[in-house]
Amino acid sequence: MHVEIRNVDKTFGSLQVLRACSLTMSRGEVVSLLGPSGCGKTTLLRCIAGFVVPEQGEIVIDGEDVTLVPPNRRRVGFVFQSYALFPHLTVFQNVAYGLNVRRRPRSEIAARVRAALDLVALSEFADRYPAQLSGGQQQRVALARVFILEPEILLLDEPFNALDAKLRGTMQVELRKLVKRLGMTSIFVTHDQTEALTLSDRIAVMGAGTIEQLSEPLQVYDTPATTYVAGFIGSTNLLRRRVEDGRVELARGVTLPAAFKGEVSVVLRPENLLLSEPSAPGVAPAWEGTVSFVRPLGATVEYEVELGDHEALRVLDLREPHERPFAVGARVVVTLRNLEACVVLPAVTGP
Amino acid sequence: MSAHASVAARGGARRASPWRALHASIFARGLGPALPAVAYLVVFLVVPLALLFSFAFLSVERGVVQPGTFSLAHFAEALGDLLFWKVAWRSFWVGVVATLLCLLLGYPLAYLYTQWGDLGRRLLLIAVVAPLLTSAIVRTYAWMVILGGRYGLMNSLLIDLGLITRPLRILNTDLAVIIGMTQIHLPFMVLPLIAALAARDPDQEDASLSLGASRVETFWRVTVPQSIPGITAGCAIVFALSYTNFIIPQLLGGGNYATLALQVYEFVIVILDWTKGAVRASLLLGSCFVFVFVITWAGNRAMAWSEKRAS
Repeated sequence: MHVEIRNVDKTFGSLQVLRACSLTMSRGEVVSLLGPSGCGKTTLLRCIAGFVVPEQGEIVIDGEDVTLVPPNRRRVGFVFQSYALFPHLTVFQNVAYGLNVRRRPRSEIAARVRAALDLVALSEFADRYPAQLSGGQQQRVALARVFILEPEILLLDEPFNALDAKLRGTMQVELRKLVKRLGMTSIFVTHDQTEALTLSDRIAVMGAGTIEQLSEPLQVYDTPATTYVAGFIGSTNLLRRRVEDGRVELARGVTLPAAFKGEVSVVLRPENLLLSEPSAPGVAPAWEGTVSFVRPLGATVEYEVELGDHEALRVLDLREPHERPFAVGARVVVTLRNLEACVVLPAVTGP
Repeated sequence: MSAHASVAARGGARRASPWRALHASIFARGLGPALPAVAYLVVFLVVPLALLFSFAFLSVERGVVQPGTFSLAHFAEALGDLLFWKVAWRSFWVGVVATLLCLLLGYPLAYLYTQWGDLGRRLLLIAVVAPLLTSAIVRTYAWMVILGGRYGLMNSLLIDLGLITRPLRILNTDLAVIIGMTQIHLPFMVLPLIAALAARDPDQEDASLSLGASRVETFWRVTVPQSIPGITAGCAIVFALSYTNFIIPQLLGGGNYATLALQVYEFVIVILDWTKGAVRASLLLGSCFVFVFVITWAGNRAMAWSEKRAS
């Protein structure tokens, strides 16, 4: 048990940003805090760094309660969204900052800074100022500045936000490899699910100040714990149904066992559905409907199918080469590929 | 190279006249809107200063310039006069002390401003700016009331409290002048400092903390270096104002107190020796420019990093 967050609450003015957040991580694990903006993920990260002191709850690192320990006495590295490099210091001086503060001998500082800059491939830029670097280079300086202190815990606040899409992809892979090689327990905040899926051992999906689910990346996708998680990760169909006699009727003749009573939402992933022509042989139809929207994506085609009763389904079809997709207005049959893959969750009342 | 040469050759025939360049800078480069201000300053500042400066080389008797009396002797006389150097030194060090005190008092104030919420900021700003709404003369007189004599506010209070038995002599000393200058010029230090400190990125201070620096170290290593433009601007303004100030030493320094600015007044208004007055005014103004230049030059040197941009 390396990092443990217990029931952390934080309020800014009248706004409760965090409510009863709990999270436990083991050494060397990479966890991402995933959620939309305003869900409190950055605040939680700042609590772990010590920039924000929670009103309730504890933050425990290596068995020591550090809730009230100031940030400069925690062995935590923080990479800011803006990188927060010191503009008046060169790359070398930025990276050396933590060692200078610790009054290490000059020769040791020089050697370690060189090693840290080698690690992020910025050795030739040691004498430049941050303003003379590109966004990607600045980010690597921010990483080197933290890595040089060999923190036990690495916190990253939307570290790839300021990078263009292509660079972001490469940097994500690089960072994941680097962090794993150095064995640092890492938490990073993101609103980008692809990033979370790429980087993390586990994902903590956050919504409105709480952690809704903490599981491995594909588990979050396959078995969402709440309708919120199901809606946030990937594209989803949520069907409102009532449970009768312990079963939910999805479509005529298609039922699922349910562990809840009353109103439920059934999570149907679009790729778990199949479209075919009504007359196609050997198809056990679940629903019949009309194609109302077609989005040809290349390898796949996304459809919106209206079923009547104000219900619509999103269907993601793999496309054969040169196959023409269904047209808008076509009558189609929707079938389920795998009934077991459907998740039944208690419906959230209200909006 | 050949293209360059041909342009130069044609340039002989079609050389842009200075008037054309002036015309271009006024109309094409958009300097037009500045014309009224420029004209005003030329008539009411540049010309009078030039006149004043020229008086320093001429003899003036009863308000009439004596022709053919151009001479550098007046400057030589002033620069050879020990009294001049004593007085100039006092102007200088009183200005320096007032500037440093303003910086010492103003920096924490400006720093607090950036830490406070909306209401606190507004109140602080009002408190800083409000004194500017009253005349410096009024405020200087107020200091006379506070600092002056046995029955002055300060002395009577201290005596009543039993802290002192005999009244402190502050009025008519360097200390009184410094106190007055510091208070009256404080807003000119605080405002540029606020501008510089409010622009800083709070993430950088958090970054410094999480890299292991204490709050104090963070302040010296991150906050102060980045506020140098504000420090420079504030020091340049306050020093220039204090060094050349006339009314504060006049009222708080007492009758025998002399600074360069006071000497200018004495020579021009009391003794009616315009030449000597002009010499001292020119030296006061000239040296003030030099000091301000040195302050801004030092500031720019310390901020050299800010000039570096991605190439």
